[in-house]
Amino acid sequence: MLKALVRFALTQRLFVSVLLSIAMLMGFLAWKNMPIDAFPDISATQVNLIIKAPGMTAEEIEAQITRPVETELLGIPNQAILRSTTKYSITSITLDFTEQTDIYWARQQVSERLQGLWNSLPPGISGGMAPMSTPLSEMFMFTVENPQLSLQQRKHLLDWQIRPALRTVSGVADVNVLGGYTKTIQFTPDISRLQQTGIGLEDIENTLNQSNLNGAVGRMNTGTDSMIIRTEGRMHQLEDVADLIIYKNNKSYRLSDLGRLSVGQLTRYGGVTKDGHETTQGLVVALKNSNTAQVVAAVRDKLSQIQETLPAGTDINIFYDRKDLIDTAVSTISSALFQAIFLVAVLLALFLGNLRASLVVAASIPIAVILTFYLMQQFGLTANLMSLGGLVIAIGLLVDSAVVVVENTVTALQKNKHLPKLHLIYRATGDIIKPVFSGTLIVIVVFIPLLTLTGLEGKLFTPVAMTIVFALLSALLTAVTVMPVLASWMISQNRSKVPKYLIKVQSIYQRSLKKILLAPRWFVTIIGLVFIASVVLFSFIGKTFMPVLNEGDIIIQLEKVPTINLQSSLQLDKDIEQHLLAEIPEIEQIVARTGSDELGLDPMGLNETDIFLTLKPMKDWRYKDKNRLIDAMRQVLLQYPGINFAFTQPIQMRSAEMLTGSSGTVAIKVFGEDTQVLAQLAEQISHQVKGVEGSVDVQMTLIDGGDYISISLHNELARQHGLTNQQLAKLLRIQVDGEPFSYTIDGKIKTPVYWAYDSDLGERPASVAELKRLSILLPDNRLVTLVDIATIKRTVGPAIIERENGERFSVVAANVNDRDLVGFVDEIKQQVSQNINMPEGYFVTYGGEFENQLRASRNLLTVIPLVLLLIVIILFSTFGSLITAGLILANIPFALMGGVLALFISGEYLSVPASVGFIALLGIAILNGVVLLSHLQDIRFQSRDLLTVIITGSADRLRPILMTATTAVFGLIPLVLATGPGAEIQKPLAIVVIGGLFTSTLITLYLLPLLYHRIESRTKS
Amino acid sequence: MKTLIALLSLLSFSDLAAESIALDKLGALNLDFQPIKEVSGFDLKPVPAQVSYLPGAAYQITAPFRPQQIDVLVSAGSAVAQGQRLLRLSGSEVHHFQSQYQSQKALFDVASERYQNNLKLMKNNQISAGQWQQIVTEYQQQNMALAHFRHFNEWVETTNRDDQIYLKAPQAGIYLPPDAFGQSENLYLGEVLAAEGIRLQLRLSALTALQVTSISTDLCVLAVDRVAQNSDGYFVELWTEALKPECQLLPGQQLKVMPHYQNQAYQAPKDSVFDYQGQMHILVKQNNQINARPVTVIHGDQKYYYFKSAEDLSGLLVLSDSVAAVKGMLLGMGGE
Repeated sequence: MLKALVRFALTQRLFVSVLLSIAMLMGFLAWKNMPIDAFPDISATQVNLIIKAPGMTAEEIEAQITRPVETELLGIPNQAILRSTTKYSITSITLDFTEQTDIYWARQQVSERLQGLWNSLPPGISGGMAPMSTPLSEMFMFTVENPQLSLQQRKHLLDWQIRPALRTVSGVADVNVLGGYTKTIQFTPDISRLQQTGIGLEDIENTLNQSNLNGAVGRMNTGTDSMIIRTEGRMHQLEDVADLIIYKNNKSYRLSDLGRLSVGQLTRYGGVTKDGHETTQGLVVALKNSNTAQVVAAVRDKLSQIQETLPAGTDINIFYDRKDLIDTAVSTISSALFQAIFLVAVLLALFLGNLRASLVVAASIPIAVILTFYLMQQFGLTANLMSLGGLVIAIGLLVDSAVVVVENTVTALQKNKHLPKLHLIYRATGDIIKPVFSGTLIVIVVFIPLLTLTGLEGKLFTPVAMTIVFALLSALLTAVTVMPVLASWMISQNRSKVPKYLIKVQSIYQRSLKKILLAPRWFVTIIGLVFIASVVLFSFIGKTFMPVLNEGDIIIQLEKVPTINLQSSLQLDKDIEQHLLAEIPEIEQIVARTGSDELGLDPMGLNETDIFLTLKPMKDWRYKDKNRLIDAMRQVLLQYPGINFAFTQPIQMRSAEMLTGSSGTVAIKVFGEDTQVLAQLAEQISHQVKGVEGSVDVQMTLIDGGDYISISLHNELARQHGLTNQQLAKLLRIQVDGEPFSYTIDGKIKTPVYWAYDSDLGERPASVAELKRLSILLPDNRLVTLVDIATIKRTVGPAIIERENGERFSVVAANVNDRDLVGFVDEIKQQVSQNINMPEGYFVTYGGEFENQLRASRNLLTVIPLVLLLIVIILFSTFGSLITAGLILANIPFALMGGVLALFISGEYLSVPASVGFIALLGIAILNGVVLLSHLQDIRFQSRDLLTVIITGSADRLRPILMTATTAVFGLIPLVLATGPGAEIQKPLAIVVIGGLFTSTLITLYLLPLLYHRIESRTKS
Repeated sequence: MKTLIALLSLLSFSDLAAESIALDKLGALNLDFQPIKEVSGFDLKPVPAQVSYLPGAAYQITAPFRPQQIDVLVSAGSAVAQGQRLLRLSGSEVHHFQSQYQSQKALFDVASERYQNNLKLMKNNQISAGQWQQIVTEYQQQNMALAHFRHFNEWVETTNRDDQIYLKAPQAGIYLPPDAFGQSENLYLGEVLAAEGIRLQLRLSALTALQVTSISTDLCVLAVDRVAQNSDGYFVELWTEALKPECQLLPGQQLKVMPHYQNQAYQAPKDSVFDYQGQMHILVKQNNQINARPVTVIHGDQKYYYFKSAEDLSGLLVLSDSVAAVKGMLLGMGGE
């Protein structure tokens, strides 16, 4: 059938050319329309619930909201893990579903259950399902700058002008607004006036809510027309609210007579600072599965449209644009791709000594690449660091089949000049089509284990494997159809000289091979020693899950004392920002975010800050690399004692949080019920982790440290005056934090009307003593102070409660520096089990990237033996001999030792990309073995002298073997040399393959003929 | 046992060590030190008060009849001099009153003459005791009746019209007319408040009232004059001294005032106080150290906290910047 395909291509050359042109066009269009992102979508099907409960403590929210919601959600099928974080005023519940679960189905399930439960949750709560995004969706961030506008005005612009406009952009899930002040209409009741008039708070609330609306009446027929009638009462501004008339005891009062109406602001749960000054920030969250590059472009367009409508002097300062990373990463990979194509083409010319033949082979690269793009699009792959990286890896492999076909064609054309050209091409291609096919099949098969990876590593490396498979299939198809056609047009039958150096190399090879075949002991000894050395060195190679992608930006995470207030927290941030700017000129700007965002997508505490550093181009740096720059920043931060800090990057931080619920390479979770015990255990574990070599950024969730002031109503007195706990809470809320009770609508602007006291005027209590003296108007219109009717005392409780699958836990997170991850975790496990006594009912789990690495290893160890079996079957069907198949497989361990040596010498760790390199190496080693042994078997009976047959046959295959090896090496060299973002993930892979190819080629050229010789000699005898 | 003692001493030592930090350990933290002030008192949060008058301080004006028309000649609450016209009463009832007054005067004159004439006769035992008792009773009744008219008439200024009179202020002070004139025979026409009796009245929690020594308004400060020694259960009543002219307050006016709480305390900026180990603390600079000192906050205003301390803190410097970071140090935080 394969030969028929070759015959068809050669007889229908024009038709093949037309088909090729169409395929090229479709491939090109596929590339142009392919979604481009920095990373593949690594998020699970995830539904996030954010529920805000103003004024409620973490414990209360956990008891009244988190637990009931979790109980309800636990019944949903297909769920993988249920996590929650409960803090003051907010709970975030995240439900991860199993792979392949449809996100819309998952959201519907959660929505249905939440709807059924909502009415039984405490009153006054708000929120629900978060936008359909992933933690990696934060792809565009900007601040709004205008020195003429106040923070409230800037936030107003963001809330009512910029956010609504950006939400219309396709692919935008939401726009999160951070920092600034939200305008409110604030009513501060005068308690003495209320007492005099006998008007209660509920009288005001009821009157306002009944007046502040437009009533629907209906239609009235007027002659031949129909007129719509409505009643108008909607309030638009503060003055409208002030004029509200309240009628009590036959007297009328204006609302402004009963208290003070003013423009106020909502209590803030967070803030944003830029270069030491407060500002406001917009954060565009992309919809899950959207095309990030397109969304970013559309957002930029929209912003430039909005710009004209903003007040003069307003600057939208973009400080994070994911497209920058995408462009840089794609450019790193694209440049590696073009360099690889160039190097391979030059190599081919050198090896073949025939420019036309080398051009024919080189043409197979763009053809296969473009066909690969088409297949990628058809299978829903996006262009990203991983999939494009896969393509670069494949460059060296995909020319192999074309090389073999063209090399054989050139040889055949030169040897048989009297036969028709097309016939020679057909025969030459047909002769080697079987090994080419089975060889490619074997290389494809070796990548099957990557397709079986699950979790994060699966999401990252499945695109790599699929791209390689698509590229190899495209290359195979090109080799058997397009190559013969191009060869028939471009390669002449004129004898071209074999390059002299190649003749010389062949002769050296023949001599050395002969020596080894006759006296193999020293060779076998050396190989054996190198093999043993590589096995020993393997244990010294560090192991990690994935090299860290250099995203270009740096985030510094700060953690201050858990009870800090927003003002003090922001002041410390500003101090640190100004110091960093003064000391580190590499920083272009700093934007720091403290506390929670408005949507609650990342409910950080007031003590937590993410400092986002935008860096100047590397050419302006004083340091060679980012690590040294971070060291300089570390020196600045160490001058701020009492504040914990850690370094991370935008995507790295969000991926880690998504996978473990906390940021850190290793996350150690202690499960149990009592938060105090959990806090103590976490403290002890944190102490142990800090003592382990290589630990950095050790952070512990500050589970303890929530200081409360508990107010208990005197029941007798309360009953006497008709006061309930709920009423007291509301009365206190009004004086301490404020409470909404209505809103005005002016055009598209909705402004909440709040009961509130002004903190700027010192009206809000700021100490327990003041709290005690707080005036309370009782329902029986009697005025008392709080201490008259309640007991006030200090209590302590958890500041944060984290839960996983319904159980509380505390977490210690750490990153690892200059050490392998597995060894690091093993040592922590040992330290914890030796030094910490776990109380009954408490247990520890170890997660984070470490978990992924274990899972990846398990998966690979299960699948690789099966793959090897499959390869044996393919080899057996190719050679019809188990011994020959075994001979090729025996080549593999020796081939891999080069990869191990290269890893050791380069100092790279054994990671998932390095493992992928070993897999690729496996394929190349087998392919080379197939190329050599198939030829030896073909010529086995051309001579009676086995030695001559092996030496001649091996020399015949020297050129294709060297060509496949060197093209693969040179195809990967650009990846090793690349320095831009994205290079660090593919680098270990390239190093393993390049190192492995040296030993693999040596083994194929010497050890394989030696073993073949031994086996065949015995068979013969 | 030895281990236990060692452990305990280690714990107590580490506690002590943790509450004192050398200044050179504070790195690049912004350090701002403010002096701790000793104050004799502070202003509490504003409370409602009313301009009122001491019980009994008002001179109530009543009329023995109900005129058809009453014109108030001065504005409510305005200051009046003694003898100044306050009201104009008009109508037939005025005429009737005047007639009644004249009649009563004539009746009294008759009774008086009879009394004088019979006084000698009584002394000479020329009339019986029963007759004399009747004469005296008649005389006293007429005198009383006339006095009723005369007291009112003292402040009446007649006009050339017999159906109209003016009523004059019986004393200097503030005239407050009633909300509405009633219909009774003995008609209430308002009251004139003596300036000395007009004061600020306010109610404060029983816990604080006794310590409040003065009251501040926007324009003046008034000393507290009287504090009721009884409470309605939660609040007690306070009266200030008489209003001063610079207070520019009007009778009946309601306003917010700031009671001054007399209590010896220390004052420090709000940013210098923090919660540590369940108690409020400040960080005091002593030599090259800063030490955490426990305090009891008794009040706070927009800028300062007022607190008590077991130690003498006057004149010491307190850290008022980067306090949260130092607290982090006390808690063992910091670093990567």
